Amino acid sequence: MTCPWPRWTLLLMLACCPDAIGAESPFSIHTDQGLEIRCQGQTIARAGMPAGLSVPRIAPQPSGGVAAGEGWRLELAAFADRLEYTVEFQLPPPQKPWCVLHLPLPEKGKASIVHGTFEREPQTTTISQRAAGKSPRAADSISMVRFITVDAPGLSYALDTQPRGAMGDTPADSAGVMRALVCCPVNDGLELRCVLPGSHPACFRAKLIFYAPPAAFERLHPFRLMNYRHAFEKVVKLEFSSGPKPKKPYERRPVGVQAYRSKTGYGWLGTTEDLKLQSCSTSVPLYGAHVGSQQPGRFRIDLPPGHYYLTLNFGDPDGPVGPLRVLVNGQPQIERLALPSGRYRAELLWITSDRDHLQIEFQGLDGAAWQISALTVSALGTLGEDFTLTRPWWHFPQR
Amino acid sequence: MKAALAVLLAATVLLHGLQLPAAEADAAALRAAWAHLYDDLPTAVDPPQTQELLGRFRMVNWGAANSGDVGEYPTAEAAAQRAADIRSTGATVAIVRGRHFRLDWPQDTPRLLECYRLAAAACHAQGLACLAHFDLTLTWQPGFALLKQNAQWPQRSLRDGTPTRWLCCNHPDLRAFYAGYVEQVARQGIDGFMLDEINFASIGDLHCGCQHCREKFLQKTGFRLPECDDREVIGNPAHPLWRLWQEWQMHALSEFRGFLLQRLRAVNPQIVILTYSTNIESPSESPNDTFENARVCYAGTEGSNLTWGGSVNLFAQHRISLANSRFFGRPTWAQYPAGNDEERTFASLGFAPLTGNGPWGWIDPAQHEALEKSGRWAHVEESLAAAEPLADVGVLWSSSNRYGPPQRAAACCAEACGWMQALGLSGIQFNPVPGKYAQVEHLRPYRALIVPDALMLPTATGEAVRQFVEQGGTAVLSGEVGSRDVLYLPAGQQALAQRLGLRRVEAAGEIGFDRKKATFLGTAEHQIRLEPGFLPDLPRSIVLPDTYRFAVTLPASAEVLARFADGQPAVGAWRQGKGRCLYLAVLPGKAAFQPRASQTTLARNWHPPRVLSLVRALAQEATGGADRIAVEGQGILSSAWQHGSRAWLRMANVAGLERLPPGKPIAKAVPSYPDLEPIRIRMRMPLSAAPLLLSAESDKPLAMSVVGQGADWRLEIPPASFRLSAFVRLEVKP
Repeated sequence: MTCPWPRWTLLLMLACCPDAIGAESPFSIHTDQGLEIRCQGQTIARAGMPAGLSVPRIAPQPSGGVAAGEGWRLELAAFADRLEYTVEFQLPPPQKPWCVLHLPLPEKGKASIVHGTFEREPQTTTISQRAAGKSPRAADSISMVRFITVDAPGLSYALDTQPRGAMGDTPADSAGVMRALVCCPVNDGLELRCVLPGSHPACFRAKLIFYAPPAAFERLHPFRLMNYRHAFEKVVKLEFSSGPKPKKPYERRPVGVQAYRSKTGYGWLGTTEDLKLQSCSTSVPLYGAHVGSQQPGRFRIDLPPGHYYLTLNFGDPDGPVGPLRVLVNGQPQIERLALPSGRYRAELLWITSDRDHLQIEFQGLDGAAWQISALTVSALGTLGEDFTLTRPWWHFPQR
Repeated sequence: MKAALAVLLAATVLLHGLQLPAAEADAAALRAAWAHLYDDLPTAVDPPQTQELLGRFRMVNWGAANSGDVGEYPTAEAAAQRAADIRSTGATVAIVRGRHFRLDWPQDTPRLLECYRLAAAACHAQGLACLAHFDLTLTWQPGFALLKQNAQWPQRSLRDGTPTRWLCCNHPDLRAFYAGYVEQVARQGIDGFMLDEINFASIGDLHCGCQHCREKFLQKTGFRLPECDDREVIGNPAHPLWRLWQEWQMHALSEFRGFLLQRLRAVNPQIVILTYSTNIESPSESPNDTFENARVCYAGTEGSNLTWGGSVNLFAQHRISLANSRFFGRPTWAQYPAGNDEERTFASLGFAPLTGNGPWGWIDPAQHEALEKSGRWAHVEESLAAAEPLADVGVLWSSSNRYGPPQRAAACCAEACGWMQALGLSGIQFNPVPGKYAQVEHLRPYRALIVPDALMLPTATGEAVRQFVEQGGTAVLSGEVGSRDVLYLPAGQQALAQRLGLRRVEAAGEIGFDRKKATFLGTAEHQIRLEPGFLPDLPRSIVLPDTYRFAVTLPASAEVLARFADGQPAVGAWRQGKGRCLYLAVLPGKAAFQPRASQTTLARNWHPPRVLSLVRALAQEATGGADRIAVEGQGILSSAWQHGSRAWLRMANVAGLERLPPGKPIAKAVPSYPDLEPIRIRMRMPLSAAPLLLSAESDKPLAMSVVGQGADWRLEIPPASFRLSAFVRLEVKP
């Protein structure tokens, strides 16, 4: 059967909204010399196949294409700002390393590679076209590749190796690209190679997203630590006290009755005159003071759209708490909370926010004042990184 | 219910040595709560088929490791061939691994169940048991749908209530979900489970402070853990309420496993749940205690990929692991993820028999042709046969010491393990005796009992030791002697030291441990001078390196048998009832302690011959030299076992390790087996046949000639009779 689509090009410029398939896209796909991805007319990547698979025929879709066979599937989907290259290969043993993507680096071009485990802050290594051409040695390989930014005269793009960017697939699971993908300098650029260990059948499953113009790693993946033995990354830690500013970034910041400022990214909205900062008779962390009011209070925290755990700490050694009510982004989250004097409670809330901030509203009930001692936001990830509840992994139906 | 603050105040006062009636009452309540923790968790009894399986447990991986997809053998034919291959290796169990963090694969369940069904059917057709290994506690992005629906499942920090990625086994909905999932797997024919990370997360923060955990603790003990980050209590291993919380967490983890076992045995009455810990006897903050888990699980240890290089340390650890399990009526297992064929051979043929555990990582000739001959040795089964340890020396230690203040706990653990390492290398047959719940019945099988640096010892165990001595046993005590109880409360008049007449025992300087550098602090070389007539075969002056010294006031009736260079007593002995006590004011086990090996461990002279000689002589002094079996030989680890009228002395050659030049990274050392000198064995048992020497390296058993009569026999194994390992089979008259 022959491919009904013109072999030399599969993707045309189509206009639509920025996040829908069919958007006008700077990317195009060509199959006259293998599977090639171009950006603004320049070749930026050539896709490779595992041993035994030849470059497949791509069945066209609106703004993309798919190919599938026994035990494998690939898909290209173009958008106004990006192209998603998604692959899944079930591979019998022995698996030989193969080039998933060859990324030619133009003259005077350079690539900044963000890499490293989720256990610590990632590193960035920069490779110039010259260096890439000079030392194509295995020893220069970079493992745990998370993000590549290519910058060259007349061409710049970024390549995000989802889902490793931040949310992470299972670290112990080589079906994810976490462990399998290695970046190797070669004569004319870089290769992203898949190296699967072991002598058993394996699955390589990856989504490689090209952005043009390049998106910043920090913007796409603001929460970067995903150590599986640790807690979810605590991205905001505040206590409602008048304590001194912390010396270290991981220490909890006192916020008191401070009004919202975009510079800090958090604070109380509206008038703060009704808010009362009260010291307590205990020196234990979190509960040495609290803010409260008879009037409803709204607290804002700037955060990208995402999934978060919000922990709210209530408790007073000197008197009862509440009853009170809590809403987040307008949704009731705690309908009624009351604590006797000397008791403490950390309430845990799953918040999915589709806006650029969380707004937490506290209301006293039955004439009582509300009060809050501390809060922590733990990031599960942004919505942009979420391929479980938010974004589809595959865009086109399977043939 | 008691007010938390009153308890804390009372307990704090106690720690400062003041005795107030209220504090005493609270201490008594704390102790009583601890004593009754397990009243509602009966020890699981395995049906005979399960006992038989565990008694001949040799496990290999069905397919890939945790990162696989479980689908390695996707057809009945492929599965049947794999099962036949496994069977031909002598293994008895296959474990199906892959898709490890199972909550991340919700869409894969039907396929996985079919894989389990195929694997189990194929294994059963070959007489193999088939286990499943996965984790149902941790999740990442693919599990968000489940997590969003069950947002309260994560464990919570005890300090600020924030969530972690680990889910809490005390949440009722998670318990139901978990049990439902494993039941589905069990219905495919799976015979047992290795369920990872059933634990309370303890890295970076302390967990779990969820409402379910707090309420259960309150209901179980009558005490409320502070709901705020009260640093006096939370995370303070010297605080009795925290210690009670830790012990309750151990109970909670065992209880959850027991709950799962109950549900699973409704599907298949023979099902078993495996559990493990990487470190058995070393300081720990994690409440996942294999000793307590062994009440309901087949407990083992994750082992090491440095089995040869770390063998002397592992020998002690794995002997303890076995003793832990045996306390609750089961054998134990150990994983040997050895890196190469040489290590695999040592682990399977040399080490597993020596420590009496069922190996996981059994050599697989299908994958390692070089091992085919040894893997199919006709006496493999016998070399690993489950049996009773044959020993006249017990080494009593309390696992509670692991959970006390880690700076001190490290020395306690090192002293206990060091004794076992030294006894193993010097040919004295011993058996570890778990001290947490030991009664005098557990001590009676031994002529002598070593009690190494027992800082924390349950007061009831102290009483058992006193009775053991009163009834004629000999106790060899070193360092601290039970000055704290299991909750780190001062034992006062109930302390074993007090019961035995020791009037003062205290460290003669700092005892510490730098956890980052894994280095002991405050150690020194201590010279002791033996009094005339004491241990006459040893030199009169012995230097013990890298250890600790104690100041002691011996009972008035005690005889000083050795002194430090400054004249202070180093060893004292006295009669107590029908028995005898020997007190060592220095830690010889610490002086002979090899730490757990890692990739960066550099070889040292961990086992100086003079220290081994001292340990051997002290043990012989304590038993009166009447051990039923004792071995003399350089560079071998040995252990003796008995089942019915047959006994075995199992030996492994570790001379190559002992001779590594100091400073050499042991991870890079190639296992070597220098020719052994003659090995002399003395048996004080009536023999009914000539002993046989059997080794995988030799086609035929070698009949040994013995010298002696009645119940006193000697035999000598000629030099270089085996290279790596061997065992002597003894036929014992009833």
